This record gives sequence, structure tokens and C-alpha cells, in this order.
Amino acid sequence: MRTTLSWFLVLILLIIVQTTIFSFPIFFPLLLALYVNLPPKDGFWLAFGSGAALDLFAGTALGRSSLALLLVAGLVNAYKRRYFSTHPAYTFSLTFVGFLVFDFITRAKLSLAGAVFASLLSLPAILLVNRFSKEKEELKI
Amino acid sequence: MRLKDSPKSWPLFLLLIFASLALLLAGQVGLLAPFRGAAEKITLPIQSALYRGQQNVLSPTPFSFSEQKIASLEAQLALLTEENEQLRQLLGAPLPPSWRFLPARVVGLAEEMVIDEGQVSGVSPGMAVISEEIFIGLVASVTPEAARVRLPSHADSKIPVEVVTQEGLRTAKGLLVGGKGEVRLTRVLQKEDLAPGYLVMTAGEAGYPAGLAIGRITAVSEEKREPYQEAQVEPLVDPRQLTTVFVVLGK
Repeated sequence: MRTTLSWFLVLILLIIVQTTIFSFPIFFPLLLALYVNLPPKDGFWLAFGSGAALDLFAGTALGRSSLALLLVAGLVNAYKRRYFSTHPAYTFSLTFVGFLVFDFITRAKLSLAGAVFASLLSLPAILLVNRFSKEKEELKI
Repeated sequence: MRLKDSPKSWPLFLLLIFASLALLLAGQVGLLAPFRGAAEKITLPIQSALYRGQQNVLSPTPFSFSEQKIASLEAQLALLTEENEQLRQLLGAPLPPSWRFLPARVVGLAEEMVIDEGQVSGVSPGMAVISEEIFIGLVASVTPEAARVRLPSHADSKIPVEVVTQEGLRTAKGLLVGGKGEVRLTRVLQKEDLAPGYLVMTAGEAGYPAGLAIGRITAVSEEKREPYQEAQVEPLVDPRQLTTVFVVLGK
């Protein structure tokens, strides 16, 4: 739970930066990498909380981003056991599709540039999350 | 979807979906406005501090507490001085005397510009935002304490404009569209006169106030086969340099 909270704070920080000075989706790849790595329940809470924070900082209707992120989380959760889900290639394609779904629900648009940008960022994001997950497992052992 | 994968997590998923829908509904009927207003009193200063930090990223940072306090006071003084100066310039600008203005601080600039005045101050979507007599953008959405301003470079921005020469002669009419951070003048008939250096101003159509300067033509397309001409337009002000703008409350 503490790990999830720490990641949530990192996501909030990225959301503040994104909504204030940066127009590219920088929090989304990290959130997706977390969906893949964390237990489903934690992923759903992260989706709901991050969506609420995003709506609050972006001035959009409260609940809209939460709904979109939850649907993406549901999609990830439904398919993550079917494939080798922590593989960067899987995360790359998942981020691409996930971002388009999110963009369509929140803005009624399909920003291919945003999806490509988010997908490229998904590679360092999944490596970062995998590394922290491994370190945590090693500490447990 | 494979609901059998993690049966215990799906009730939570449905509960949170329901909570999101409830939030959306509550927001639609205005139940969340007091909460949102209170929350923005916390979020806007954070965004403002980050935005100022980004603007001053190249300036040296003082280390001691007293130096920080002095720097903070100096920053406040500079902001107030600039706001005062802009108000003076606004008073001297050739704008209709019936217009009412509301000064607002810029607290963020991502896809849209965020200003620290919202519904509480009487700001509503569709209002023009200016700096001196230069058009900065149109209010796209408002929350109790803030507003989002759509700049001409925004992908959804379409502004009916007219083109005037340096001598003030009107030469063409067209549509100013944004996208990819750039501003293009389109829908200008081939017979109309366009040249680099000409000024692009709001035409006073589609809800935009008339006679506000937006930018200057930097290049004109040479494609003569098309029915319309196009031109690149450079905005007169860099929105990243702005700290204070004015919302046109009433015309």
C-alpha cells in the first residue's frame, strides 16, 4: 500500500507539471506501467485518484478522466495475464492503444502524436517500475 | 474481458466506475462547485509557483531565508508594477470605452493558458482575453476560481480575421487557424492582397470582438492553383512571457 501511495504522489507531481507547463501526456505512460505491475485493486485506485487529480488541475469535469483511466485499467487488467505483460514491446503497444482510448473518452479526439509520445515514454516508465519492483522483491527475500 | 482472472478486483472496478459517473453527474448539476472552489484555492497557488519557477528558471536562486523573502517581495512588486503598467497601457489603447476589463494572473500554460479568475469573478466561456490591444485568446472553460484560455495556436481555434497593411488599409479577410503550435491564415481569396508584414486583426465575427491585433504575416504560400491563399502568422506576443492579462467582461 505504501508503494502504491508513493507512486500516486509521483503521478500527482507529473500531473501538476503536465497541466501547468507541459502539454504532452507525461503521467500516462507511468500510470500504465503501474497498471501492469501492481495488483489490479491498486491499479484501479490509482486510476480513480489520478483521474480526479487530473480533472482538478486541468479544470475539466470531475470524474471524466477517472472514468477514462478506469476503462483503460480494466482493459489492461483483462489482458495482462494473456501476454508477457511486463515486456517493453507489450507496454509500448498497450500505451499506444490505451492513450487513444483515453484521448477519445476525455477529448473526443484521437491524437496520434500524443499516443506515439506516450508510447515512447512507456519504455523508460516500465523499466523504472520494473526496477523498483525487483528491488522490493529482493528486499523481501 | 476475462473477468475470471481476478474476480475480487472487479467489484471494486465497478464501484469506482459508478463513483466516477456519480462525480460527473454531481458536477453537471453544480453540486461540486463549492468543493472545487475550495480545492482550487490550494491547486492554483501550486500551479502558479511552478509556472513562475519555470519562467525564472535561468535567474539565480538566493539561498538564505532573508534573501528568499526579499526575492519573493521583489517578485510581488514586479508583478504589481507590471499589472499597473499594463493597466496604464490598456487605458491608453484605442479600445471602446464601454468595455470592462478584469485583470488576471497567468498561472499555467500547457495546451491552454490558465488564469486565476473564474466564475466567482464573472468570467464565462466565450469572453476575450487581451493584453493591451492584442488578442491573446478566448475563454474556453471556467471553474469557480480559474479559467482556461484557448490561444490562436490551439488546434481547435478558428478566428475570423481581416488583414490590414502597415498603413491601416484592409486588404483581405480570412480564417486564422491553429495547430501544432503554429498559426496559419487560411480561406483568403487569391485576388486579395497578402504580404509579409501585414497585420492580422479580429474581424468581429463569430463572437470575437473586432479590431484586436493578433499577429503579423511572416510568409505567404506561393500555390496559385488553390482557390485560397495561405500565410504563416507570428503572434504579436509570446504567451510564455505574459504574467498578467485582461478578460473583457462586457462589451
